[in-house]
Order: sequence, then structure tokens, then C-alpha cells
Amino acid sequence: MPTNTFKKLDERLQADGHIAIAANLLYEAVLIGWASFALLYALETLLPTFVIARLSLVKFSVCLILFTILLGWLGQLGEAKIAQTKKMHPLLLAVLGLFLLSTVMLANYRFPWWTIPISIGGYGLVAWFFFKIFQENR
Amino acid sequence: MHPPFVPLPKTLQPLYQKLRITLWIVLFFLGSGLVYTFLFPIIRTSFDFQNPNSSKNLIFDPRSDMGTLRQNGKLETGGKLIVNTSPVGDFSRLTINIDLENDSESPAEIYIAIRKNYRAFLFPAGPSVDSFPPADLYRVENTYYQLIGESLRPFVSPAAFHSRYLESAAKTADAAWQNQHLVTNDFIGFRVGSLVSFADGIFVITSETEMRPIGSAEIFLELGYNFRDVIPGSEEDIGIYKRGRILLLGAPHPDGTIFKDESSGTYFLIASGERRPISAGPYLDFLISRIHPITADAPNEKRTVSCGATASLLPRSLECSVDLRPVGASFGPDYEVSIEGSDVNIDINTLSLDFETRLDAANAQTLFSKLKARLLARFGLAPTP
Repeated sequence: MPTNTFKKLDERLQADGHIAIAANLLYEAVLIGWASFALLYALETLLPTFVIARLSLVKFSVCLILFTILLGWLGQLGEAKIAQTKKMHPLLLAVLGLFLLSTVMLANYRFPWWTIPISIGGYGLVAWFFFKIFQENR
Repeated sequence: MHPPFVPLPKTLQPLYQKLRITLWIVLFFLGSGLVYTFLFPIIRTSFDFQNPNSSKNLIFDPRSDMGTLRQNGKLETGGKLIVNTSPVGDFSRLTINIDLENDSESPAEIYIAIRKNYRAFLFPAGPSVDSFPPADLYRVENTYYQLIGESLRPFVSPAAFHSRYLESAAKTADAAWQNQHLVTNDFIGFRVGSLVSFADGIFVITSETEMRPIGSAEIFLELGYNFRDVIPGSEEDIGIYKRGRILLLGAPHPDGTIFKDESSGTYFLIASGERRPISAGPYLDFLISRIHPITADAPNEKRTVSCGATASLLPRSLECSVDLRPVGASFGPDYEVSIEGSDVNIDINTLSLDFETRLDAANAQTLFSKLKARLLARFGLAPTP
């Protein structure tokens, strides 16, 4: 009985478009959430205890992960089209690039000079692996 | 901004846009709330009577008005519980929350009084101090001694001698006279209460045998000390002391600290848990020529705020809130909270104090200034004092 009820509910929600709306709104909220997390994490790295004294980054990240899982599920129901994404706006690209550059520079500050290319190479390798996984999933 | 994550039929587009605007408004308020919390935080200090020795307890020394420890949370009818806490900041409001044990009786109301001062300045008054501690003092070349019986006890350095006595207090003697006495290895150090620097640290001399490092420059200033009073010490100077626990906010000033009551102009010396007035005369002149007394306010009714804690929305919990502005201008970082007037015996589980930071530009500026200093220190660019 419960399976049938859920199936009917699912069909009804899909039919009236509520799932699509919820998924789109959640998508936006989760994106902003992860961007905020990245900023807060960077701030915490820069000024240890400044953020965690006021806000638990662990709880925040757990919430984001749960919402991301929920988003994935809603996306499956609503047949999400991630592949539709266009090219990034140049301004957004510049901001992201600057953030990435600052983070890498700060992360390597005061490290022995010869370790810097190794760590940057490491970041690049990880980024390449993620990119490959993303491409394969598409 | 971006195509919808999940395709939407055209009929739902207007509803989606409305909800999207609502979402952004909600996120804007959430973000603003977060920034507000960062700039004007609520500082919570608490004491868990089930774990009185926990390092998380930022409320110190729960005691009765007679000074006996009250760490079990039990408060009899008409009894008094006094605690101290020292949050850093400029606060406008305090909310006091008392969580009772499940088997505790519930009082109709409890009276809570709060005052702000230096802890040591709230010590009971003691007998007055009139003159230098008596001693038979000699100077042989560049070394100072105290004659005790037939033996000579040396001062560890001239600076240590001058922290205690005037140069004129020492009689001049020669090496032949010195040879007639036994010179002990038991050195006399700085006057108790002196501030001595060595390497990167500042130490306060807390007894004849112990010194304690001061936690940070911020704590040093919060305690009312003056950097001009710090005596540069050598390794030999500080070598005679045992290094004690780090001095943090919440601890009372050690013996030897000099306070000045701003309203009456009276000077006080802290000694053995008492606040002893120093009589006008050469000793007072000597002390205030050596150190800047810490300015304080004598405890008075005008500098006390109070509230009556009654049952809150939560079960077995009492709460009240009080405006801290009348005590805000008081000297000292230490809040003393007195809880009394219960009409039944109560058993407290946890006492919590929530200090709300005053919403003004000065506090925001202070925060930014601290952030800048921390940021510079993080990259080794902090200005040297």
C-alpha cells in the first residue's frame, strides 16, 4: 500500500510541476550554500577560529551534503538537464579565478619554494581527475 | 542567470519567478543575520554544576557570600550564590538562565544582581598600609642586601631592590663588613605585584617564589596594566621564580597590585585576599612613583543592575534579562553575578549568561581593527609594540 501511495503522489507532483519548481529552487539555494561555505572556509583558513567560534562549519557542511543528496534525487525525478549549462559569464569566471588564485597563494605562503610547484601540480591533477569523472558521467 | 535545473512548463514560470524572488529575500536576510552575528556576537559563558572542573566552564568560583565554594549547585532558602565571569567586549544586555535539576523545587522568583569591576577590587577591605615593609638594608658596591640576623640575603639585581625600596633606604657598607657575614643563596626578587619582561613575555610576580605569564597584550590591557610599568628582567632575575599558570581574564589581580579609587582618590594595595587602603606618606609616594595604579570604581548601588528570574518557557528553567548600560562604563572586565532570595531550596544544573554586544559603530570598528591585527600577525607583519 505505501509503495502505491508514494507512486501516486510522485506522479501527481510531477504532473503538476511542483517537483520541478522545488528542484530548481533547491538547486539555486544549494549553489549559494556551497559558494558561502567556500568563502567561510577560506576565511577560517585565513583567521583561525573566527568563523567556527560563531558558526559550526561541520554542521553547515552536513546540511549542504543532505540538501545536495535531496537535490540529486529531485533532479532524477524531474529529469534534470545539467548538460544545458552555457558558458560562464566572464565576470563570474574572473571572480572564481581570483578566488582560486588567492586560495592557492595563501595555501603556499611561507612554504619552501621547491614544494610549491609540487603542490600546485597536485591540485591540477585532482582537478583533472574530477573533470574526467564529470565528463564520463555526462 | 542560468537555465532551470529541471525543465519547467511555461505555465509554471510566473510562479517559479515569484518563489525565486522569495528565496533570494530569505537568503538575503539569512546572510544579513550571519554578518550581524559575526559583527555583534552574543557571548555565552556558563557553569555546569554537574562538571564543576570542566574547562568549558567560563564562569568562575561559584561561592557563598562568606567565600565558601558552592560547586554542587545547591542553594538553600535565602542562600546566596556569587559567581564571576569576564567576557571580552562591550555589552548592552545580559540574559541569565538557570536550569534546575529535575528533582529541584521551583522558586517563584530569584533576585539576581550584577556589577562590573576588577575582581580584586571587590575584595573585603583590610587594615591600612602605612609604611615600607621593615628591613635592615645595605649596599656593598653594586649589590644590595637585607641583613637578617647575622646573615645577608642578596637582592637578585638593583632593579629588584628599586622595585621595593628607595635608594636612600640602603646603608653603604664595604667588602670587609660583608665578609663578616654569611651571604645566603636565597635571593630577594622584585616586589610582589611587579611586572617583569623577559624575551617575548611579560610576567607578573605573584609571590616571593612564583611568577605567572600574562596571556596576551589584550589581557594585559584588559587587566588595567600599563606597559610603562614593565621592568626589563634578565635570565638571572626571573630564574629565581617558579613559573606558574598563565594569567587569563577571570583571575583576580595578584597580591601587590595597586588600585586607585577614582571617586575618593584613595589608593589600595591587594594583599592576601584583602583590599587595603594605603595611607598618604613616603610609601604611597614611592609606590605611585614606580607604577601607575589601576583606576577603579568603589562598589556602589548606582553601578549595580538587577532583575528577578522567573520561570521561562522551558520547563525547570528560570530566566531574566537586564540592561547592562548602567554598568557598562565601570572599570574592569569582571562581572560579578549574585543570585539570592530563593523561597525554596533549589538545585541548579547549569547557569548560563548570554552577553549581547552593543550595536554601534565603535564595536564594529574594534572588530575590524582586531581582524586587521590578526591578519597581519598571521603573515608575520604585526607592528612591534
